[in-house]
Amino acid sequence: MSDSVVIAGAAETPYTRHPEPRVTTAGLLVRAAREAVAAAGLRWSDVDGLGVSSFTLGPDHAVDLAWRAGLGPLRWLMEDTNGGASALNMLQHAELAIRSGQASTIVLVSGDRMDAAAFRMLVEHYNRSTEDHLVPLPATGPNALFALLTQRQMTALGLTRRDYGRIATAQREWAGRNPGAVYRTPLTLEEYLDAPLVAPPLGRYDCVPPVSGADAVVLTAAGPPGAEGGRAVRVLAVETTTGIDDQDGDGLTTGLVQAAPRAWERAGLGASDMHVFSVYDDYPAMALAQLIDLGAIAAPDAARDLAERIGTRRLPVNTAGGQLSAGQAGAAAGMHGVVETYRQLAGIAGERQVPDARFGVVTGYGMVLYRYGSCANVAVLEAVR
Amino acid sequence: MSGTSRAEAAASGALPAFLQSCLACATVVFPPRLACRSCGDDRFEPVPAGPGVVEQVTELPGGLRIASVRARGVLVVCSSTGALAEGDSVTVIGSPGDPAAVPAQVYLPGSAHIHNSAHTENEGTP
Ligand SMILES: [Zn+2]
Repeated sequence: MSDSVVIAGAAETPYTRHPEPRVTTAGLLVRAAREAVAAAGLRWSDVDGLGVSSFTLGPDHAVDLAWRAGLGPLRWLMEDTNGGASALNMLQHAELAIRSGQASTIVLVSGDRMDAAAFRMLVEHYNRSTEDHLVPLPATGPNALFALLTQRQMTALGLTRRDYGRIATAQREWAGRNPGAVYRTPLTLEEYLDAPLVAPPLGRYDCVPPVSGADAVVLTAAGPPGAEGGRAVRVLAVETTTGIDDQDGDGLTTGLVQAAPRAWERAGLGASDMHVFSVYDDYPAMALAQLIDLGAIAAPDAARDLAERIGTRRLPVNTAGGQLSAGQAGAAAGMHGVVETYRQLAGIAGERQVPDARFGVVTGYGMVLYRYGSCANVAVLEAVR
Repeated sequence: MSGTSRAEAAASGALPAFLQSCLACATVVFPPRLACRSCGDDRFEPVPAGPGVVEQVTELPGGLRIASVRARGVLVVCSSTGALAEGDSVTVIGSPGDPAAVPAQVYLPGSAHIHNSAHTENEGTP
């Protein structure tokens, strides 16, 4: 039994737009997992729990990966299929497993070899309703759906494309300080506005570049004070809400509207206490929706806060560049924010380090059932000093 | 679907569109479900989608319009090869429509073959 669970190490493979033929999903996952274990100062043989999320690991599953990676015997094994919400879903279960003594060292790893063929397969066969009701429109992929959602948000909050450009350009600035991001060249607001429209009002820079890569974290019970040498990050709360409505709303309110208050209560903290934010940015509108649901931005102030807090990077949001600039590595998209928040709180974020970052919040979002995402979750993390 | 728009759909060779209505509580949904979120019943019947109103519309590269359309109170995702604007009244049909039709026809895929599901997909053992 343990009172507190920490992330003891994390890793992200380089993200690549066009993976070489020899790169495999399993290979990416194992690489990230091994690097995370090494970063935690642990041995591969210490691992007694594994959680995996991937769209392209098939026909293998978690146990195949464990076997092929030389792991075992394991006391705890899970596989999560909930896309952008999978990382925090796994974290929610893993934290409890360590707290209860069911496992001592759990690796959570997410990732995909997401080349053009894999991406097409994913979006065309995402779920039954996609196959039956969206692909035949014909519309492939979520751009059209989130274009409609963004229009609703623009109307509801009085926003223009320029306002969303604050998110994309600020994240590109952060990405410029992340050697692992695929797009690092600064992006001006004018370039953002002049980019080709993909599905109005969405332009090229509102859409995430699919990349290949993997992200992993290692969870253990907290050691005695000072044992982690400042590299451990405590998990204060993890909460999930799925299906707050029947896909018949505006999609502008996520499950965080219920999950976040529970997480804040459990952590004894609020949005104003956070030093770093990692929100699931499949589209700028969703990053904004989640910041509102977390309580970090008040809806009536959205335009002002996008310009004065996000655009200036005074509010550190998606400090590795997020999916918009670092890339969306399939199922790793949700874990990317966990790894980045860990790095910030552990003080190893390099050029983009937020000074004195003690508290951070990560969100997951995803699984479009028909019109928008149905799953949302949130984790509150604290640096162990 | 009103009598007029149903006749128009038939005249253009289009398939009619249906939504799914709960037999027990008359809640209407789309896409079709296996059990009713409102009352838990698992028996449904098809109801004509009827006329709709465009709430938002976007355009994909190539010119296809994708729209949120409210029909019988339900928001559905439709396509049209013709021009659409917010607030437009449209006829929701179950097959790709005629861009010249008035009112505009919008296509709701998977809506033409919604059937009485009381004894189909969720059929148990006898
Ligand atoms: Zn019912």
